[in-house]
Amino acid sequence: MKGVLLSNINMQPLLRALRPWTISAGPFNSLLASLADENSAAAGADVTHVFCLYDSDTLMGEAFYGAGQPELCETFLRLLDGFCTRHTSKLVLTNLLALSSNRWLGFADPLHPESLRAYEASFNERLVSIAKRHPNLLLIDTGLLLRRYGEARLFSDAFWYAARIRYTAQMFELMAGMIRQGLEAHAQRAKKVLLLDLDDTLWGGVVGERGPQGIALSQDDKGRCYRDFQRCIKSLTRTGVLLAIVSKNNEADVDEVFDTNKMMILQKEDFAAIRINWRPKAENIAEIAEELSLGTDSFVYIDDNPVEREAIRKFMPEVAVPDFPGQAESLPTWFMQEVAPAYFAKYVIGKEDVAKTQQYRANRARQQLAAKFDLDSYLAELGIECAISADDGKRLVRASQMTQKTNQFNLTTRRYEISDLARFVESHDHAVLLLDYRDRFGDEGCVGMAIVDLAAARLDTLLMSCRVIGRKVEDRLLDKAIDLCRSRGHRRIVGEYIPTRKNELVADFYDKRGFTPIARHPDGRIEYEKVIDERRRQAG
Amino acid sequence: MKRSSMNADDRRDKISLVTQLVAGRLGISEEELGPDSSMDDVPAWDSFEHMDICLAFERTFGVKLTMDNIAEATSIRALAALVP
Repeated sequence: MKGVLLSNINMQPLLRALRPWTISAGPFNSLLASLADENSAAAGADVTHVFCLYDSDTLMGEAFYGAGQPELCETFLRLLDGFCTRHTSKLVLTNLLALSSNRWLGFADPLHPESLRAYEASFNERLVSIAKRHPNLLLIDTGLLLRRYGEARLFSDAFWYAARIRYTAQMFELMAGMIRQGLEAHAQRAKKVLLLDLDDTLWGGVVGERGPQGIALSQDDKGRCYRDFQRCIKSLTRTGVLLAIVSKNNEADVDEVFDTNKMMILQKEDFAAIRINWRPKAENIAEIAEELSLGTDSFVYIDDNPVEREAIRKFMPEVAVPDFPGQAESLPTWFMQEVAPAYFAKYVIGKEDVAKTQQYRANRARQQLAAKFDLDSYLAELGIECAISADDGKRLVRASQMTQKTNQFNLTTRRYEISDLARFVESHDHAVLLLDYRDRFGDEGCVGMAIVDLAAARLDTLLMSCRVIGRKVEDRLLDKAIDLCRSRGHRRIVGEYIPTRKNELVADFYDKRGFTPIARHPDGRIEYEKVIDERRRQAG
Repeated sequence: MKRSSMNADDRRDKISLVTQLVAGRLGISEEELGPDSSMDDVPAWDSFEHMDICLAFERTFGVKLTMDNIAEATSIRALAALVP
C-alpha cells in the first residue's frame, strides 16, 4: 500500500496507529486543495489509497454556529466526486459527516430550518449517492465510535487548542481499527460459515438434562439473552453467512427443541448443514466443509466449552475460534461488536448474499434429483438458463468477491480488488465476463466469471462457483471468451493453469477441451493454446 | 521518616514509568534519558513527538491533560508530577 492521508485538522497521530502501513500525510489542512489539484501527492500515479478523514465540525465552518452556509461541505462533495471519477484505480476512504453534540440551536435544532441534524442527514445522503456511483469509494461511519464510547472520552479540547488534534489516543486507536476492518470489508474477504454449538451457546443449560422446554430461552430473564443472541446470529444469514450446527447431543432431543420450543428464533432451515452426534467435532467440521464445498479457512466456530475450542484451535488452526463471554448478558453485544465486524464484515451485500442459505438448500434438492438420472438427462431436467454480461461496471463488487473467494474451480487464482477490475472494464483490451445462472430449483445469481485479455487473446481468469460445478455451464463462458477473441481477429487463444493447493479439480480443464500445452514452467504453471479460426480449420 | 521514604520510592516509580513511556514513543533507549531530560536537550523530542507523548500519557495513566499541562510538562520530571 502507498497511502496519503488528507484532512482539515491535524491527524498525524493516526499514522502511528495505522503502522506498519506506509501512509504519508498531505500538507496541513490540504483536504480540498489536494482533491482538486491533479499535481497533489494524493493524485500521484503510485498512490493506491487516499484517506479523506475530515473533522465534521470544522468542515461546517461558521455554519456550525449558525453563521453563513456550509460551503466547504458542498465543495468537498463536489471535489470528492471528481477525484473518484478521475482516479478509479485508487481506493478512496472517507468518513460520513458526524457533527459533535454542541448545537447552537439546542432544543430548537430538530425543527429549525437551519437544523444541523437535518443538514448532516442531507449531506450524508448525497455522500452515499456519490459512493453508489463509485465502487472505489469506501465510506466509514466514525460517528458510531462517538456513540459507542462518548465524546467525553474521544474528543480532547486541550489537544484541539494546543495542536489542532481533535481526538484522544483512544479515538485514534478505534479509528485505525475501523479503517482496517473497513478495508477488509471492501476487499470482500469475509468468512463464509459460522459453526455453532447448542447447549449453553444458543440456549442456556443442557437440553439432554433439562428437556426441550426446560432450557433457558424465554421472553424475560436470562433466556432473553439467548433469544437476542439468536436474533443477532440470524441477522448474519441475511448478509450471506451460512450457519451450521456442530453439537454433541442426541439428535432427537434437538429436533424436539426445533419442533416444540416456541422461543427458538433460529429454525432448522436457517442452517446449511447440521451435525448432531457424539463424534469429535473436528471430524464433523471436516465433513461440513466437504458438504458445502467450502474450505475450513472460511469457518468461524463458536462454542462455550473451552475444551472444545482448544481442540479445534489445535487440530484445525485455520478455523477462527473466538473466546466466548463468561456472562449470558454479554452475548448480543459481544457478537455485534466483536465477532461480526472481525470476521464477517462486508462493504456491499449483494443479491447473491441474501439468498445464500436458500441456494445451498436448493443444491441439496438438485443432488437428490441427480441421483435418479445420468448426467445429460439430469441437466435437461434442471432446465438451466444462463446469461453472460460483459464489462458491467455495476457488478464489480460481486466480481471481486468471486476472485477473492473461489479456490477450487479457479484456473489461475488471481485475486482482484474492485479497483483492479474497474481498470479491466474500462480498458478496451480486456473483457470482464459474468455468468448468471438459474434453473427450476432457483436463481443462483452470478456464479461464473472470466477475464479475457483481448489484445493477447489470453484467458487471464476463468472461475466458477462450486455450487454449479458439474453442470457444464463453464463451457458457455469459455465459448463466449473464444467468440470475443475471434471477433478481434485472433486465430488462437491462450489458456493458463496455475496449480494451487486447492484447484486440482481443474488441472485437466484445458486438456479436456481441445487445448494443447505449449509451455510447462518450473513453478507448475502450464500454458495452453487452441486454434479458434473456424475457416482455417475447415480448410486445413 | 518511614512515610517520606515511601514518597521518594513513589516518585522514583513515576519517573521510571514516564521514562519508559517517553523512550518508547521516541524510539530511543531509556538510558538516553534522565529525570531532567526535556524537549530542550533530547533532539528526538520535538513538538510533534511531544503531542504523541502527551496523547500516550493520557491513555497510559488515565488522566486528562489541560492545555497548560501540554505546554509546560516538557520534561520527564514535569510529566511524572502529573502521574496520579
